[in-house]
Amino acid sequence: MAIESPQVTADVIEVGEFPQVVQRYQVYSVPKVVINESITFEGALPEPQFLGRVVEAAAQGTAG
Amino acid sequence: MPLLKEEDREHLKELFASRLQDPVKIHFFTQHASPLTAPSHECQTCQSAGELLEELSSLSDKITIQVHDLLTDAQEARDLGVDRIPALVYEGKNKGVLRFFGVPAGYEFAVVVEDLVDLSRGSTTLSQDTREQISGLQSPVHIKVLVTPT
Repeated sequence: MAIESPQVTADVIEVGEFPQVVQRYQVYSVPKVVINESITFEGALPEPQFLGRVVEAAAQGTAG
Repeated sequence: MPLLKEEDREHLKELFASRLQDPVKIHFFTQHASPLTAPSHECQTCQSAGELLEELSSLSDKITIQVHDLLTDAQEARDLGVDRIPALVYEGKNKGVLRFFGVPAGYEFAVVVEDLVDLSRGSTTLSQDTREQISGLQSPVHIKVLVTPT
């Protein structure tokens, strides 16, 4: 998604090396996805659902 | 001692030769020595990441690694939003920002390889609908994917 849109920043973080990230996001299972520090989900979502969360996050951004 | 097995190297060389289109660069942020790190010693995972990236770039002329030091290149790190290392910031045909923090080992290495191909071609395997909605986003979206090495 980051390749397709200038609005998207995509970070992959290998949490085994960054315990402070584990604490900050309360990571108990992976993969865990955090979008705009607000929308989170665990596990792999099918593309349409993933897209839905991304769009939701962006909408919150424009509304807030 | 090379980190990649010989058959993997050959496979990747062929993969890159056939699928890479335009050059891709990886900005690799590492740290050589720092009095700020406690206890004061070199970032061990930075070393592994560096070695892996060196091997990766040796597999194709279209892949270059630009090495930056987190301390001496602090401004660049700030500009690229790098606050932890090792960090990889991709530069290719991406419209947005694409980064990897940590050592891309195991399954994550395969993801890096796929990313490099997508970045060099400027195309992804996302559906038409996804691509339309994504390019229509009106405000920033920061997606963090938290993983562990497999």
